[in-house]
Amino acid sequence: MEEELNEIIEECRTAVEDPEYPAVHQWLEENSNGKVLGHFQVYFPEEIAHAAGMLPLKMKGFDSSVQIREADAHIAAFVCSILRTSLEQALSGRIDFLSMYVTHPICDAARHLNGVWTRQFPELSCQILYLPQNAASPHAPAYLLAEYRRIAGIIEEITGTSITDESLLASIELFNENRRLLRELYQIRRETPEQIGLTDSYLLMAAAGAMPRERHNELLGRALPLIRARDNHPQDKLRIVFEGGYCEQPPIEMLSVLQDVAYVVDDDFMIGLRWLTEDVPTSGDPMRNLAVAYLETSDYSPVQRDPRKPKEDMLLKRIHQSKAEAAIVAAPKMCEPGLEEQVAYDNALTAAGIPHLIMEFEEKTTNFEQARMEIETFAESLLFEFV
Amino acid sequence: MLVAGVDVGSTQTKAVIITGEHEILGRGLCSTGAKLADAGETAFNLALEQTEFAEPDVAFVVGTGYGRFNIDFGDAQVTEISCHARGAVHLFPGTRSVLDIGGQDTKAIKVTADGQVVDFNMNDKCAAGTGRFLGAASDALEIPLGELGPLALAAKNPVKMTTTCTVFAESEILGWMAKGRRIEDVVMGVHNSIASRSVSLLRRVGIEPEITFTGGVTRNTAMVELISELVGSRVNTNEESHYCGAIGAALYALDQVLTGAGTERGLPT
Amino acid sequence: METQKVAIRPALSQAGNTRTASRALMDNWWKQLGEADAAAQPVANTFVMGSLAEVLNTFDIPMSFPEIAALQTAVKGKAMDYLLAAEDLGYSPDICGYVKVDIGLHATGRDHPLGKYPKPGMVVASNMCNTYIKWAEVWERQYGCPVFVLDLPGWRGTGFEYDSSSETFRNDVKYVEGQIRDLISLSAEVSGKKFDIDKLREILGNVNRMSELYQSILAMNKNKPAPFNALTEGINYMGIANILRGLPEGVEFMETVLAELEERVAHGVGALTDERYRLLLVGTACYTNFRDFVGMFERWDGVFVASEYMSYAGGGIDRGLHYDLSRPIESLAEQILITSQPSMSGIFFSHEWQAKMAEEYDVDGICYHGVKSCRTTAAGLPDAREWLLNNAGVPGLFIQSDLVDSRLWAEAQMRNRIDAFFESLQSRRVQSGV
Repeated sequence: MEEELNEIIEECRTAVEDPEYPAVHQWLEENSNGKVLGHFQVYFPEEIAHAAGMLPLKMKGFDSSVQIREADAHIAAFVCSILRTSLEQALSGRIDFLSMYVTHPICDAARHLNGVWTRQFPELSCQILYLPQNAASPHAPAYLLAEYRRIAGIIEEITGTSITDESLLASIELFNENRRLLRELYQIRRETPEQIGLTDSYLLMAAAGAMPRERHNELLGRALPLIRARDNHPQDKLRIVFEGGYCEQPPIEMLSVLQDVAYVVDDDFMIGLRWLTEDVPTSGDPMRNLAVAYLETSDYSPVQRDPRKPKEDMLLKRIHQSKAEAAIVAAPKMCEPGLEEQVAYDNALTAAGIPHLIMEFEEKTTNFEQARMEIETFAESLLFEFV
Repeated sequence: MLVAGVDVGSTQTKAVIITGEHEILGRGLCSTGAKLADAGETAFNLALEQTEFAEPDVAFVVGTGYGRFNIDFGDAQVTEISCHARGAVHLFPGTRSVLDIGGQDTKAIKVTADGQVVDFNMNDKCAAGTGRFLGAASDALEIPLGELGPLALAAKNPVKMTTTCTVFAESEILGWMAKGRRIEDVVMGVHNSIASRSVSLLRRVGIEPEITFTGGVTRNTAMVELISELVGSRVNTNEESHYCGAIGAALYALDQVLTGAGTERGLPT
Repeated sequence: METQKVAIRPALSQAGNTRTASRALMDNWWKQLGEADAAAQPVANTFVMGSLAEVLNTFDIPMSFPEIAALQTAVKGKAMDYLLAAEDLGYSPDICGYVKVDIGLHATGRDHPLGKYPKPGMVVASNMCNTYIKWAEVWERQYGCPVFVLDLPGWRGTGFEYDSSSETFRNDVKYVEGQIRDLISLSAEVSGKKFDIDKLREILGNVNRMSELYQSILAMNKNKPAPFNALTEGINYMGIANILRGLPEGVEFMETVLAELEERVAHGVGALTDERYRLLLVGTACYTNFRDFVGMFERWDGVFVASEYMSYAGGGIDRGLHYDLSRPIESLAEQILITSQPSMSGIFFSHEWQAKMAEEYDVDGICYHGVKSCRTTAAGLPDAREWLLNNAGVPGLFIQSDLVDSRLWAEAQMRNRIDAFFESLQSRRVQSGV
């Protein structure tokens, strides 16, 4: 049983961590005319690409397994790690398999991606998806629907496959299933965190963006009952929420530092994969349903403006719903929106009397000493406090 | 007729005295220290002592390097970018790309056949990938700078340095040591980090052979090996490479004397 | 060590008019903000890109431009006090310095070196800079004031030119027009005034006139010598154009500038006595060491004949913005969409614009100045520089510092790079026998 679970986790680990994208290559071998759409953080309606037979791939950053050779020549200093390593992957030819690359201007640094990629890869279809930054505006749904249709048109052109209501609906159902499974994984974390460690849970989750969803559904479908069936004893560990993983991800080694000292009962890692918080309705116009879901039944991040979802309130909600005792509010180094949000989070958590640690991380680092010390000290100080 | 070039760098000051036929008659080297003007003068005098001549025999002095404006006996100033380019082409006429790893700045320069700068690129404001990074390793590990290169060559499994900040380099180095990594592997990790950042700068201007490596770090054999490996061909270095900036400055001084076109900025107009 | 080069000019009748006018206008602007604050009249915080001054002025809502206020603290040598005050509150050293100066001002009693820094009664932000939105949220939390975020979909094509005949454009216009109508309602609420479409029309007419004049002003620098330095004087023109957008005083100021420049051109008077290098500035200014920065270029007789800054922070008036007064709101939506593109998305493809400017203004080189404070303008500069050198043969200098944070100013490194760049320009000239 443990063996099967380990196999599943290893398959996910390879898909997520291997900078050569083995899961993508395998898919391409099995689908000789298959085309891959890479999309940068945070959210992309992957169903649209899937409905045209494309493999949507979530473009992520890498840790020290990717050495920066070329990327620094194209981007100024003071830019975060994920922009550099993801560009390095492209410049080194590792993602030559892409037929389309989509960015959403989530922050002032990421806004440059499309220009840089266009200049560097004139043959690649580089596209911008403009998700509304005025999400609460009554004019936003109509706008977003037209924007999704526009992107769908480009996908149809590239694949030569038309996206029908039927095919889109089938994709929505597949992704609904995926989101249900991910919600269940997080439910296990909230209810019985002793059953699955943070790094394993992270790999199981993040693999959604790195392999075909059909395969991911199958793996999660097998893994979740195995996790539930475990008989781990709850330990006297602090329950914490980790906030700050909506775009750049902390290196896996830092996650293992976290799981050593605490139960991380909820987080915002790869939040784009879990952006839609409820099933997308399967009746009515599927494209409209997808657009409305983005605006109406969605999570939050520092890079979306929606006055209906003040971010500090949303964080407090996440903490309360997961019955966490404390929070770690991290931001990637050089991440303008993440760093700016930290102060609001800090104030709100202080006002609510929730112990928290404010820290920075960098995906591409091997130096965890400082992070380890900060996290351990934080956890120790709280354990003594609660004794 | 003699001219001189004095390169007041952030760590070392170099001076050369050359003849109208480009023959190097004297070389001077000293630590820069806090008094930039003194360092320039000391190096110049050391170089002069190696010749049979006296100061009035030197027709023109061009200062370069960070302290170039502090040499009060200098007649003109030219940046070390132009000087390294000029010096490199003089030492190795086939040079089209120049890499100078200095104490504070690393420069990648693309040059024409006659030593003119086409384009250049330098490290960011912080000193990552510069000679100072080696200094940090030397301090942290308490190994003299000159022994780092040979030690690095003994590495079998180099560590991956990720810090881009010299200030944090020391703590990362000590972190690797605390994890029980072999000292040579750590030292090689530091070398790899500098080499890859330096070659990244070269890529920004476009690597075109021949590539000439200049500055004090050329005496570090491990670094020469690594950079050659990364650029895919043997980089030019010789015993004069250390003085390359000063040689370039002296050649500019010679231009001034020959053309008589002395300007406050050192270059002919 | 060096003396600043000051142009020796023949006695010109218009000389100094611009400087006198801009000082008076700026003083008056601060005075009005102070009065509004004292009278608890709602002031709108807005931004140089996408200010929607057209709508705010229709309701006589005084506008505060925190970006301009922030840069002024740096020019006055006071920015560090505010930066540190903000960092004490937990703001990172790695975020936008403008934001932190503003936060520092609010945290220390709102005493700006030039006057009372008002409390915002409402905020108009846009996604032309993502940080605007984060910044607006800071005020929203602190003062609970209404925040309006204008969401401008950037051009999705991969290029500088915007296709305003596309279906995408028509769809975007609907979205923007709807939002502008929302802002009109909000402004009526905040100001307690009724919307007067004729007043909007009059303001749009003034912007049209300012736009024509601004374009003529920029074009003056196609002359040799260039009559003004786009980095120093140009920033001044732009600042006034922003704070007085759509007002008669703004039109008058632009007329004053143009008259002075026309006279300079007629007499062959340049920004520098001896113009030897014509440069294009890409990126922003460095306000902490404004004179030092300019001096490093002037030492080589280099003048900035044009600047991308005057384009993307000019609110579209550099590129033919013209409102159709017969349908003001629709036209406002369309024109804002079209003319915001240079800063919205064009900035990321600005290599095309740079190549064009380099040719039109006959520049010798491009200075790419990346500032840590502004990733919008800085993140992609090295890539653009490489493109210009390789594809258009225009040499470029890449340097980095900051708008307001003097900790990021490294004098020796800056000077070294600038000197080396001019040395290479000089040898290029020698090579080509010019």
